[in-house]
Amino acid sequence: MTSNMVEDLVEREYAFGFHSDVDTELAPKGLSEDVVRLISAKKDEPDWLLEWRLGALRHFLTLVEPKWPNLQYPPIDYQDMHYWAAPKPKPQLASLDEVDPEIRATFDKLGISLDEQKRLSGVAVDAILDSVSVATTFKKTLAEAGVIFCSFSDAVREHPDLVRKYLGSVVGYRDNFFAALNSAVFSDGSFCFIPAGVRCPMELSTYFRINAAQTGQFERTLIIAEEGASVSYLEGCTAPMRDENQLHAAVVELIALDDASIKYSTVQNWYPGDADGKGGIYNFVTKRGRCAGARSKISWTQVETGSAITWKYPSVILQGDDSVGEFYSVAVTTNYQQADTGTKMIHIGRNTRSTILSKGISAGHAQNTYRGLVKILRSATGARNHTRCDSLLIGADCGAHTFPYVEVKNDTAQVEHEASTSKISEDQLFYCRQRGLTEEDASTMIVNGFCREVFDELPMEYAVEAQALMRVSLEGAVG
Amino acid sequence: MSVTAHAPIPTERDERWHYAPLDEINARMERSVAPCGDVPTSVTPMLIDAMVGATGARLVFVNGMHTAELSDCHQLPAGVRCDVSNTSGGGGPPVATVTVDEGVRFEEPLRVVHVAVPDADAVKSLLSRARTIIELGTDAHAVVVETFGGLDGSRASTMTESSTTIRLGDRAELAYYRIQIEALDATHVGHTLIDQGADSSVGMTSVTLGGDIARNAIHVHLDGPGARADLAGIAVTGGHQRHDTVVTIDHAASRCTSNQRFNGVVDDHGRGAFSGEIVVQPGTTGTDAHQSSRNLVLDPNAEADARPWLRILADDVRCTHGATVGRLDDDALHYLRSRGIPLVAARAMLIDAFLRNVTDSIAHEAVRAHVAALVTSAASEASEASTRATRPAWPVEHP
Repeated sequence: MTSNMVEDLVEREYAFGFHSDVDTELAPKGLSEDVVRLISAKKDEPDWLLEWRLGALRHFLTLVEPKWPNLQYPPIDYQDMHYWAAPKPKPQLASLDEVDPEIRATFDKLGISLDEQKRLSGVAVDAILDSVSVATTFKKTLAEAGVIFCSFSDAVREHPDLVRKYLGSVVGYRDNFFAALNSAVFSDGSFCFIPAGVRCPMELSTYFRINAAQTGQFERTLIIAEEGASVSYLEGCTAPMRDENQLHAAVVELIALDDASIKYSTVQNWYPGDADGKGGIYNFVTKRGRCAGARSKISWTQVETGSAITWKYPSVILQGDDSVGEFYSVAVTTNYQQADTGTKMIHIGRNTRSTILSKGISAGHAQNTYRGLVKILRSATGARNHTRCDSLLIGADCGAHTFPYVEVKNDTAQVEHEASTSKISEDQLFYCRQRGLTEEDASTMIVNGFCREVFDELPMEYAVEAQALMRVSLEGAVG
Repeated sequence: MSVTAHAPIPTERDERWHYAPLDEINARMERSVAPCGDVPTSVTPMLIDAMVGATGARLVFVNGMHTAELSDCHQLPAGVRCDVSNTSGGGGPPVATVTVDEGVRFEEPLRVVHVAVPDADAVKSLLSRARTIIELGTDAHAVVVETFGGLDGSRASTMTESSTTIRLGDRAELAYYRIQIEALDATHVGHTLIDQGADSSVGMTSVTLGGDIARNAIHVHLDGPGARADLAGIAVTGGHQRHDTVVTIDHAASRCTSNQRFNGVVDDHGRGAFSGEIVVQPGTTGTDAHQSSRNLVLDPNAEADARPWLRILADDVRCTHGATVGRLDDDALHYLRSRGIPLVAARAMLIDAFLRNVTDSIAHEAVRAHVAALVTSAASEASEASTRATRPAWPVEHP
């Protein structure tokens, strides 16, 4: 864009008499340059970022919403939404007794500690375990190691060069419809930078649980691991999350330089809607990692149990020679939930390796789709991929679909794909019931066994919770 | 009837056409003209014999026109008929109809042969349409071989658009072989639709060797409970060929079984694609469906694509699929070479074995021998082409 055009736009803004009222609590409905300017002004962003947002918006306005996924939902009116709202403080409750008993029951089933239950439901925490002070301790440890871990807005303020260098370098705003939308109006998110040679001293999940921030509906995450650095990051929480925003369009970008490794785990348990399929979150996310350096590694692990609709493909671009990409996924859909999820492994470098392991569980009237692409480019000599996706059907009215794409342009590549779909084996069920388990216990045990290999990839404390989560999610669907 | 019979004109956004060069097919179709005039003298009974590898009952079409002097359907037993009918209105192409009446079992292969011959004088390619209907009554049994052959072009090539419809009555059994050996500059867009009654069974083997662009779509509609479909196929894609095999198996009734085994070999600049889809409709029970796609890439410039899909809307199912893409096994190659077999021959042997794995299950002996000969010659051609092109895996052998 030329500077003349920028000036024209600036003038036009005045012509319409728009004032960026910094005190506004809610942006007017709809999507326009004014709204994007308002968001940017609210966050006190530098000009280059505003320009980037505006570029994304202009591109977004030329796009048509994609209709190819195996999902059914009413049309979304993108002009009938607020794209910015001041973060609302959670109502403070006096004690856990005021929390919705249904949510409390779920907390108990998941085995979440009382203190954490209080924090998650917004109960005033007593002074003995002050989460803020714990967070501060963590922050100090990270700072000593040289790790930068902060909100996206803080990163823009404090590390603008890093943000500018890497923002959009993996998922550009021209990437897809929802990435363009996110780039134009992203609210906040996380920024993480691990300098060369540093092994992040703690699982960033631990920190995150203490300091779960309200990041809004258009989240943006950027994680950079420099040469030889490594980090494990966990997004989300097993606890059920209630959120008033129905559409979530997040973007996550990971960059791993030479010998770096990033492990990104997601546990997603957003509101899936009621038993009749009313309400629930639409989770339309673009997640992609770039193994930019040689011998780098990016690993995605996801446990998706929530949201009315999940639509995401955490992908890896294997650019560096000998780089490794992994994708481990458990997606559970019950009632009227829908999921269209999977991964893309793009092999560019020599001797790149990728593993895909996907477990889909469909119950009730749900539709669960695995969609994946393994692409071996001409340059990827000696590339190797192994893919397995298994689906489990519980009940006669649900659906499980597998849509893999394998594209090989190199004769030295070795690619294997296998998949199976079946219901819970009668024999296994019979065996368990014979030993005195109820049908529901037996089914849960079998389902957990089915997901085992993926749970093994989760950070330890989450693996335990994920098993409990599976039981809660499938409650009433089996037996 | 199945959905594809009424499908709209495909666009590049149509997933079933994902790997087909649709624009190029359309452009070629635009540039083609309908054939007219007499049967070229180059097409002789001997040529047809060589093309199908046998004599016997057959219907022969040259450029979409029925050629009575090359056909032979006089000595068929009662209840077995091979006819040619023109579609109403007279504008459409003649239709080959193979009918086997209720309860009749006929073990000899019935052949339908379509030969595409380019116009020696013309610049434009000839577009011919091939229509075949195969109908088996209740408890009937038949073996049908449909061959798409062609002659090499002068300046112009040929384009064939084929449609084969197969209807099986209850408990009917059909062995159906589809062999496409058109010229290497030909364009072939084929569609096979199979509708199956209760407890009927079809064993289909498709062989795709010819054509510059060739699309082979197979749609099986398992309409009656207990129906069974066994599909096998091979494709050898070399030169600048583009082969696209698209299989859909629609489990619309309970207790149906389907099995797909497709092997592909790509070498030189060839691009071979396999798309398979198993659909299990809601409300069905006892479904058993398997699919396997194995692909061999022989040349750094070749490309193999696989898209094995499952779309399952019922829970009482056992569905599996597997897809692999790889190269020749170095150990096997080493074993053969250590026993003094030259590289080209060793590679040809392994490619042949890879393909025969699929075609060896052809039940009819004469058909199996004919297909085996085709496969062996395709394997040795692929081996020669790729051995020339690829760098040796270890030090070059002594002269």
